Amino acid sequence: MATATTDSAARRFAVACGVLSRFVKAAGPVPMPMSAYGAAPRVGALQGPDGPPADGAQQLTIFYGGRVVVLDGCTPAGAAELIRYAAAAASPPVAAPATALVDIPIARKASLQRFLSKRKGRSITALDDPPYSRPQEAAPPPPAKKRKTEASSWLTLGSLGDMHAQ
Amino acid sequence: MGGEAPEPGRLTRALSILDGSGVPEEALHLVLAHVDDPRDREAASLACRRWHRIDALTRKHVTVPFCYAVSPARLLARFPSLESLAVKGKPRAAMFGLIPDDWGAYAQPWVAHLAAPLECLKALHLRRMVVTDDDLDALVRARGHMLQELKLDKCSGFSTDALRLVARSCRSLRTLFLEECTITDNGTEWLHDLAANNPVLVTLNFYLTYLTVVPADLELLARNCKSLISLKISDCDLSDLIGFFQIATSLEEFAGAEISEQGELRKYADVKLPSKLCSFGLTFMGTNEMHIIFPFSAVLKKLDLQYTFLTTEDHCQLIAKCPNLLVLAVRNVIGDRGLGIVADTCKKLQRLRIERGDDEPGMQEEEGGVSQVGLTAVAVGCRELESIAAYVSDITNGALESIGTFCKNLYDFRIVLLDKQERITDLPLDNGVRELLRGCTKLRRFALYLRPGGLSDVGLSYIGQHSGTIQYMLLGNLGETDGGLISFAAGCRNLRKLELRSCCFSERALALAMLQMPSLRYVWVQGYRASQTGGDLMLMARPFWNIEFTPPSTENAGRPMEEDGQPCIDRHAQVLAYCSLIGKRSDYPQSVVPLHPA
Repeated sequence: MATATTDSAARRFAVACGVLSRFVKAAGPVPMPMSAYGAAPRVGALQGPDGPPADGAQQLTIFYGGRVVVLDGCTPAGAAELIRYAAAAASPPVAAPATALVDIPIARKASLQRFLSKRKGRSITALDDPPYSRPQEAAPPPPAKKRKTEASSWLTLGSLGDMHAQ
Repeated sequence: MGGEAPEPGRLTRALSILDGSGVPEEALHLVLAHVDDPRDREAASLACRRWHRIDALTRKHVTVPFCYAVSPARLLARFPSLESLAVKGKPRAAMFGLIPDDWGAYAQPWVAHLAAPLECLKALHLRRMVVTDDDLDALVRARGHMLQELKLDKCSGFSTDALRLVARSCRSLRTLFLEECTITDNGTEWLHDLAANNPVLVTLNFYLTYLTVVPADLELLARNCKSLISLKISDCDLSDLIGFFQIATSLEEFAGAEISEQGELRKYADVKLPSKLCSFGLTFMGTNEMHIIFPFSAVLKKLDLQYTFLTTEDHCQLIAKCPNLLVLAVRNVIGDRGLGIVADTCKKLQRLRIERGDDEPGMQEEEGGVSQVGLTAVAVGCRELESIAAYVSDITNGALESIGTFCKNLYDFRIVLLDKQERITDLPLDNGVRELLRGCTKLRRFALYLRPGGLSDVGLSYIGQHSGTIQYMLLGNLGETDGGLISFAAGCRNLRKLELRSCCFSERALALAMLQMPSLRYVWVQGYRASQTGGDLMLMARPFWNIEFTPPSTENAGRPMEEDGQPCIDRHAQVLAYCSLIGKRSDYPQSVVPLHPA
């Protein structure tokens, strides 16, 4: 699948960036603003015409997906920042918010609801003294969304009538 | 067939037989009379006008899956020899209190046309419809003398007065089915009248109707109706039925008695159940009353434990004694341990239902809750399963794969993932669902209700891709984006009825998806990215396709379910779209906006 190959390619890129960043950090930081991810090919402002520039800016070449990007005068800090972007892109994407997923709790069938209400009202001697004592379960985690106060919502699994074969 | 081509003369004769003109009318009648499957009938009626006419004259049974799809007059005029008619009304969500009482599905237009032209009608089955005393009066006047089977299934709107009329006028009644109907109780005479006037009664069911019952009337029933083999009643203490059971020696199926006092062993000690009993359910039965079942547990074919107080251990002990079970219904207190016993013991099991118990702390039952462990055990152990419906607390792809591998006879599969447990072992279920659908080739009905993250868009496309011959689906909390719905729809060739709930899709995507499913004739949706007016739904407007929209309620109608179990109406938007030959219905309630036809 396209997504799978992209993921593994991104991971390889991130590893390479990690190696590169170790080299870059050794050269020391000089802050340089980056306008956008995938910066413009020519950054030149701080670059001297000949020899290694005073602030450590060097040419950065990136090979990715069959394309080559060359950044002149990329300072160590700039390179580090680029690498950070790349590494962040390679990590698993933040779970996309369930786009406006309507939060409706599962509903109960009316017949069963009635039975459960009746049961609550009776003295449940059978359950109070069962042959096996109820295990001390950890209290169930309170539902993150307060579903219980919502109007009872719905799920159908068919009716009792289904049980009796036609 | 020989190796030579037939002579021209014989070929012409062969062709004329194919087009029917060479075959006598009577022969075609005889042949078609043996064709019962509704899909075969449908196909035959489309072959040519002659076959259409003969099918119409010989059709014995029609099921109308949705009462607003066709006109009663037209349908009943087409099939004058009809013996049996079934009509379904309100959306299934009505069983969960999500459909207002005045929504519609009135029986009156149907009953009105059941009189003179239909000489042969002897069975009527209405499901989730509003039936009044007047309707039953009209029915009895039209068909009472011939009526053998009357099934009012989760209907409402009538009283015991109408039942008295039925009891007195329908002497040929073999089946009276009223399960889960809402009936106004004006007295118990109806049962006495039924017992006194209907000697050929075979099946009587007024389970979950909460009507008052007089044990003496049941004893009269047992004395007079020697053919009675199935009885399901509204609540009556078991100890009051001792006399009844002594008389009803032919009884094979019984439910509706309750244990009103736990632990009162003397009270129930004299209960002796009929020897042929093989289908049973006992409300409020607890650990101390379980032994009542032991004498006939080995012959039990159907067992309903949904309304009992049994613990997990009780389930294990009881089910271990029931090797011949075909149908089992329980709550999820049965636990994985109990399902393990089912898998080891009930090798002939065909239908399994695991309902949702109480989730509240304090009411929580020990070891309750069913997971992939129990499901897998059942899949491996019960290879004859045809129908599984389960509320599970946890699930894995592996469990679904096991079902696909072992349950080759499955035609109905429904699973709901409960929302109490925060972490589910193995989500998304994309691969498991795919393998289940690929393995269970006979599947006709499928329901999958998960949570966000439960099934990705890819998984949803798998459902469409492997939908095979599935005709009905309920999908809840599935998919991630509109794209998932569209790719699902692209795969569903045979889907006729679709219910969607709590999904993330836009109105536009819903409309476009519906257009893609060639067999779709009914769709119900609640919980989606609804607009206030349902405007985008008009994208699926086309002839013979009705679109009804219930706008999201602006008022705060979200009060919780009442304590006595009376449901309240949900405030989320709803969409109902369906094929119809009769245009906009005239009886829609205030809450419903007909979008098309407008």
